[in-house]
Amino acid sequence: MEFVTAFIESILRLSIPLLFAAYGGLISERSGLANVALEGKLLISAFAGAAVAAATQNPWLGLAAGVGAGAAGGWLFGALALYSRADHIVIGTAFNMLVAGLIPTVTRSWFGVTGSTPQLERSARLPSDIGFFVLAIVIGGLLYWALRETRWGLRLKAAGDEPEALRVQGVSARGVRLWASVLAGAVVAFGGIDLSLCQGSGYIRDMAGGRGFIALAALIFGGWRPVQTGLACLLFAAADAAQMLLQGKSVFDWVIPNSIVQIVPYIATLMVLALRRAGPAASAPRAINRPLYK
Amino acid sequence: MAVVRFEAISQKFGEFFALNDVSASFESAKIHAVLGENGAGKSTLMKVLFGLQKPTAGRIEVEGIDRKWKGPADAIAAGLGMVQQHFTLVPTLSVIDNIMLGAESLSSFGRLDRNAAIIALEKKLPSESLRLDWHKLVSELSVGEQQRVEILKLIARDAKIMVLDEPTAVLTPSEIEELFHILQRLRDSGRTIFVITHKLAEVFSFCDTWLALRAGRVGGTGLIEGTALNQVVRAMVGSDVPPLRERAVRDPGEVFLKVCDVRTDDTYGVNLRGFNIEVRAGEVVGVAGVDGSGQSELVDCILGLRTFSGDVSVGGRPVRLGETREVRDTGVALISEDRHHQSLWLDESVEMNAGLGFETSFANRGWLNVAAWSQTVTGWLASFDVRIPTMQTPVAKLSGGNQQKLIFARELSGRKTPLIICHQPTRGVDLAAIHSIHSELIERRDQGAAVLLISSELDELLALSDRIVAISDGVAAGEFERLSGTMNREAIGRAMTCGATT
Amino acid sequence: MKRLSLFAPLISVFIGLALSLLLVVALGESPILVMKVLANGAVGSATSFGYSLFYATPLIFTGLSVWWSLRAGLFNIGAEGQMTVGGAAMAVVGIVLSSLPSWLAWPLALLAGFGAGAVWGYIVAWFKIRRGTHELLTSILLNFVSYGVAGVLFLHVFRNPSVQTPETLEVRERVLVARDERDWWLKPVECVFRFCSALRIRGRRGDAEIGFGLRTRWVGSAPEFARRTGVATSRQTMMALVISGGLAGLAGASMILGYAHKAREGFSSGAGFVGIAVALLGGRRAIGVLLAALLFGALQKGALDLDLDTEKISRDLAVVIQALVVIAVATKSWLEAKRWNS
Repeated sequence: MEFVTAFIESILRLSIPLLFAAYGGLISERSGLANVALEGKLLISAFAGAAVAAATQNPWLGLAAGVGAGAAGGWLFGALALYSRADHIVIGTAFNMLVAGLIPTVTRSWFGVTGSTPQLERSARLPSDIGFFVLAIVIGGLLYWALRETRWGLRLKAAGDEPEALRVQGVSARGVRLWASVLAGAVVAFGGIDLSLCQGSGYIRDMAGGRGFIALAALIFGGWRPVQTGLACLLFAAADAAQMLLQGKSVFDWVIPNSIVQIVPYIATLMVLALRRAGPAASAPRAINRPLYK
Repeated sequence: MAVVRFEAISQKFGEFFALNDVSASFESAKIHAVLGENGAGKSTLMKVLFGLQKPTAGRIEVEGIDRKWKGPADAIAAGLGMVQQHFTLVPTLSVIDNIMLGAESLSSFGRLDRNAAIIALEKKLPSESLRLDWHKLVSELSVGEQQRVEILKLIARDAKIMVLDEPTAVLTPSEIEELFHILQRLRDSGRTIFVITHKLAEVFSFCDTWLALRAGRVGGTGLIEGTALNQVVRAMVGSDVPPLRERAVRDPGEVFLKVCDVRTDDTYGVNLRGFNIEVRAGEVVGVAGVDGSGQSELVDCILGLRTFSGDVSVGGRPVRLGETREVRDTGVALISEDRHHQSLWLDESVEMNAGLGFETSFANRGWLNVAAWSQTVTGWLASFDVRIPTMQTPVAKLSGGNQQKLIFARELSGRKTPLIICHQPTRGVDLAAIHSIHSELIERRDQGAAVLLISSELDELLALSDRIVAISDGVAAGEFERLSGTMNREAIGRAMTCGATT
Repeated sequence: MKRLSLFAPLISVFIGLALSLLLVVALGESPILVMKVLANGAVGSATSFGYSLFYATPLIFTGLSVWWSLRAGLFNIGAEGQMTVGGAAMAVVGIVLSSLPSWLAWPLALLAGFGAGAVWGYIVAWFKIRRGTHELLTSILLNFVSYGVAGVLFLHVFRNPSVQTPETLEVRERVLVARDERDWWLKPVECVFRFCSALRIRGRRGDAEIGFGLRTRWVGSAPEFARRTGVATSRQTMMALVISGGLAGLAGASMILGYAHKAREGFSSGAGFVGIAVALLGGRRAIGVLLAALLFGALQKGALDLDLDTEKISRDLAVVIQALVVIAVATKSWLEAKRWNS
């Protein structure tokens, strides 16, 4: 019984960064902005949060800084991708690279170490995960409602499916996408902060460990819809929890190498994608990654 | 009283004048036809009026006030509205959501108030025939219904001046009639309507005035009443159009293309539901139908690009899925519907585009012989009178007519082509190019080629075809022959709209 | 059939470098010192130049790998993982096939590297063609899988028990590409030339002129047109990803068969990702990719010394520069503002 509750707790905890990243991705992709920069946004917000928390010893300032960094990252990514009319995926990849290079460069000059922030005292960290998990679920519910019932949702979907319909009404689809990207960055940031200020004690190099991409897979698997995407995140988190549980365990006296155990979530993700029915990606936003001229 | 006045409008794109010193004025509560060939500037003029394009020089006056639009939003606020040729509807949203988009009715917390929007709209409806199921998804509507959504968007925004860009291109004859009845209702309620078109028959039946543009200048203008058709044609083209070459009288030969009881089974889109057609050597067989009645699916099946049940054979050889190369090698020239995506590699050179598909014949052990390629395709292009700046120009920079002629040159020169499949061969092509394309098709037919001509322009089909098969919702809904005299417009129009009758 | 243009890539490099130096200034370090260290470390002496070439070699392969996929309209960002499995396969062949003669052994090792990368590419292609999954997603996920697979080989199956670090046993002498009798810095140079001789052939008349290459690009740029003309588009897509994967699989060769003689965990050290930048900067022609790889290789080599010779800047600055160059390249269309009239 204890085992089961520990397992469930582990799933919930592991799902937090995935949920935030996936919902950020959902906001951005439904507006037509293909977002492979989720990983970079997780990292930048995790880092900004930890850096400010380390400097001020106040986790709440860290939280604010992380969200601000996420939003700023979202703005930068969105502005680059939208105003240059470049391929969003290329820009997203470059954004991830930029973050990966920038953080260690900055830490060397700020903290004297490359790639990480100093260890945070307990008092400089956020108290518990539960709040984050609840917030993620609330965001999922809000998105479900907002996409159907609000003007914001209507325009978001229009920008993602047929931006021309907005343009002829004098509404800038580019503006809709840019603000969606900023909001997406802020949402993703909560996932990053959870990593560095809640689950961890400070920022360590590459601490997102590919979660941004797994979140993207969850988003695709969930058909770009909030409820299904949330469930997909939980599924992938379960695979990760199982992985952690299996580490160091042995089967018939054979210790499963950790290298194998660690790739279980990725294999699981691939298998899930393989099970998805073939056919036109019916649910993908129709105008995703389509450049806008106005 | 003039509701819209253009004064010396010019619009330059680089060195090219899309509009050159255009002045005209239009009275309110009339249907105005704006005529011209492709590239004559009629769409540009309407974009200028609607604020989508800022004119390089000149003045626009609407309702007596000098207007300088910053963008379409200003024009919308001043009571203008436009229905684009390519609808700007979000297919994944409902009818009412599409109508609201950009001018949403809201209740508290930014929530959409759909009921309020519906009630407000229904009050403004000038005619019951505009009513639709407000909660249906736009992707589930027919093309005609989608157009009605576009018009409803304008009504909801209280547009007093409406611009419709090529509104009849995608409609059946009966839908066209219905559309103009709606437009006349709107006119009678005091609205001013501009219709951009090149179909003169509709202009003379339904419109009040005409303005013809030619190469960016005003070619002529006047009331429809008291104007002769020839006068308008001359204003558009600058001269009379020469008549089409006489077709040779000849008996058709062997059946070259045979499509027998073909069915497709797709989750999305239209399906063929037991379609039959035969094309013999030396005849032009037309397929008449509204866009999206299964024409694209038919072409895909003939090319082996789509799974189907039933029999298709080309030159006596059965077609199987994935054997596109083999089908094309039996000598099939293909003029695809969507020129830009299905027939051209837009950012590559003219030279490259003119030879693609024959690259193996220019190759020597895997290496391409560029000199031979270049020399051969230059000859092909010359014989089809394709006008190009240089062989290295990106094909995207050519006009629609020249692009289409390039495609004809490639498809008809590289090998013997006993079968020519033409899908909308003259869409977006200027009159001179249309004429040379039509002549080419007749000549090929006289030389013994089998021609399958799929078009939604009945005039084109009536001018060229020896037989016409009407297609409606994936089935053959009637066959009409030139020789036996059954080929008449009304009967074909009925068959393509209402399905099988006779 | 277009001429090679150097202008846009050079401007992009300039912009990327300038922005990075601004960052350097913001962090309180002298940009002149940084530039000096970079230049000195990259081309300051014959040895450092040799090392620059050594760093460039894997980038040539990963760069070509991404470049080939881009030609086919695909974005294979899994070069990192393909390189990892390719390197692992080469090491395994080098360890296992100890009795083969040299002339057979090293080609076989290279073939194994290519094959392993190609298998990774094939998986991506399968998902793309059969499931419509974007190649980006599968290739990223496969990167993580490849670390696991390589980890098992390096840590458990072929581990060198006499050292602490997770690395394999030494590859047998005969499999090595470079021999010991040369000056040691020549080894990497030899690798460059041995492995890249194939490129010279390709460079001869321009890539567009090979029928197969032309069709790859055709399917990438105008897929519907190609399909309706009878080109087997799925097969082209598959071949493109297989070749792309195979090229990335070869990327570890200079390291494993030429220099370290063994594979260790994380030996790819990001070369797969830098390959993306190399391909984007390289543009349409293979020769451009080669030049871009040399530039980025030199940059990486030069940046190594930043850790020691400056107080506030680390070698990660190279990644920042690369990222900024990619952004500058990708956004240069903004300058061109090309729009087709449709």
